[in-house]
Amino acid sequence: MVSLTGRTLGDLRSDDSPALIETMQLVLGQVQKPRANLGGSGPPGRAD
Amino acid sequence: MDIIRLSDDAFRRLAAGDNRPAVIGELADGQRSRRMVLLRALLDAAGDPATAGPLPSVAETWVALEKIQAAAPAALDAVLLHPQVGSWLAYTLRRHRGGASGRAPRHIDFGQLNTVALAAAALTGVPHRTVVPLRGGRVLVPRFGMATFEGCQAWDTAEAWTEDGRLRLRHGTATVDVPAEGDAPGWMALRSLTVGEDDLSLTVFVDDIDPWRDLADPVDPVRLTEDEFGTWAKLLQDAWTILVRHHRPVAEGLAAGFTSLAPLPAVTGWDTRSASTGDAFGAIMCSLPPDPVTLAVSLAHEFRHIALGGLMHLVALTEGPGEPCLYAPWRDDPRPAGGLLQGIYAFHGIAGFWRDQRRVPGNPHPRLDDFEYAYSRAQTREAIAIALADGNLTERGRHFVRLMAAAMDDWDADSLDPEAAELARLVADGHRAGWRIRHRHPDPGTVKALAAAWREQRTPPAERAPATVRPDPEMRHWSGARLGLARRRLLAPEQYAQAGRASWGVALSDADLDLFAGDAAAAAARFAAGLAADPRSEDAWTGLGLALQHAGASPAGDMLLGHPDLVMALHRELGGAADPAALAGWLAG
Repeated sequence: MVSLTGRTLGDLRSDDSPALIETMQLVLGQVQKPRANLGGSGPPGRAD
Repeated sequence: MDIIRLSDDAFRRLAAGDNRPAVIGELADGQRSRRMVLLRALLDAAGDPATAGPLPSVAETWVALEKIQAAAPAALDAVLLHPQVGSWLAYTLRRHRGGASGRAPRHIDFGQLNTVALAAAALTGVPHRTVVPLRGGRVLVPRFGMATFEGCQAWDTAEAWTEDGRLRLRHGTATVDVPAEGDAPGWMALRSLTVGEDDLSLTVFVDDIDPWRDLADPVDPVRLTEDEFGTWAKLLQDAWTILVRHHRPVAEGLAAGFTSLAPLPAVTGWDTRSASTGDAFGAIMCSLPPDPVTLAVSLAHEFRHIALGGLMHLVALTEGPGEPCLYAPWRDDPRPAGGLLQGIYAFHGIAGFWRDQRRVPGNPHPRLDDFEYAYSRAQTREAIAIALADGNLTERGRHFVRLMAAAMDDWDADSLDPEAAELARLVADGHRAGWRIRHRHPDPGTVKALAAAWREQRTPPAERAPATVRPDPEMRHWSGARLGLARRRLLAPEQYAQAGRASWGVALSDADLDLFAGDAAAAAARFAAGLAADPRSEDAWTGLGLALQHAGASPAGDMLLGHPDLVMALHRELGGAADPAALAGWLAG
């Protein structure tokens, strides 16, 4: 993933570099399915 | 343009479970870049005419955001990094690309960007005016709260502006004047809590209103009453005290990276539910726990997920998502590689929590906490072995997992209450076997060949085709009873005999009670009788294996626990006539 530290939205708006495009594709792939972490601390018996 | 590279030091520290501020800071930098990239993706997607509507466009709002950023970059970052802004961005782009459904017109989704600009302007006092989308008359302004208007269309709009440092919104003739603090007519504030202990404090939003406070799709607000909010405040303070005093490194990490708590509804029969999503870095969802220790371990657990999610955005640890075919000791259903890895990291944290919690002076339940430690430690170790063997890990993923394992090396020297340790082993063995019998399917040709050998009184053929794992969607929640029984034995032994009457204990048999009370011989007899009555009972098959093994060295017990699916299938193939223990012993050779 590219680092955008120090870069502004203005920089980003006009940036069509391959590195940014590739990162966008990577991130869009990451969000394409919701990834949930489901937990259940203290299942049966603990509160009895 | 530089690529984000997590430092080797941060990678090693994360693997060892050190999620303290320096490490979280590197992950947060990564999250900022990621949100910027998602914004740019939103801008590109907004070129699609389907996203247009009666709101300022993303392109127009982008220009406003540039000005706000130039004037007050920290304010824009604060809004951009708000966890639920991440969820909204992810949902909007996912839906736009066909990965989610929704009823709202696209401009309602995309137009939520206007609330980001509004919020950032309000944080700084920069004058700003925009139009925001209404969903059912409601609009959420990140970090501030939710305005509600009556008499709206399902999807509508409101004017919104900042004036003298205050937020105002108007729909038709109704104006919502947002106060500096608290609720007002047409306004529900996003409340926050600050808790402290010694020199360490934690401030979190308590989010009961944001549509994107759940795991994926937008949800309605469910406002906590003042009493409910007060209950959460007390629990969080008490949990914080436990974390700071006895789990200081965990507390330091939470103080740096945990920024939003979204209460979940309770579920009957379970103490606590918790959840998080990689799209909302910093947010933890949790149902009201029964006590502060449960809240403390839930926060420790979910923060592990948050940290690993942040790492996995930057570093690929698995070769793709993988199929749901792996055994995760804490789950009743098969898991894919990414899910297994998340679970390993979380349970590594849970085991570490109990390792320290059991030693807290004045602990009222040291034996129970020894059990929690022994069990979660065993679960983590087993899952690490599975991940290294079959977990579809990249080279860096293998390195990460090995570092986690190494961090547990000296845990073997920990002394444990013997009964707690034995009960942990019993529960772990029973769960593993229960998973195998429900989700693994032996090769039919192998079963037939074995049946023929049995009928002909030959030794069983050694060659056996591997079983396949096919997740059974009906078998996602089957294992709570024996876990509850082990806990009941340690926590309230005087109520042990009544465990079957508890809501979680309905599936328990008398054989289970014999087994967990240490009478393996009686348990074996009862499980065998149970199988005679119902040879389809998975719990009777695995129970017989546990009882035989715990009664002494038993190849039949080992076979029943190692391959319960095969033994049951063979028993069925033979018309149910064979004695289960004899059949298992014969199979063991």
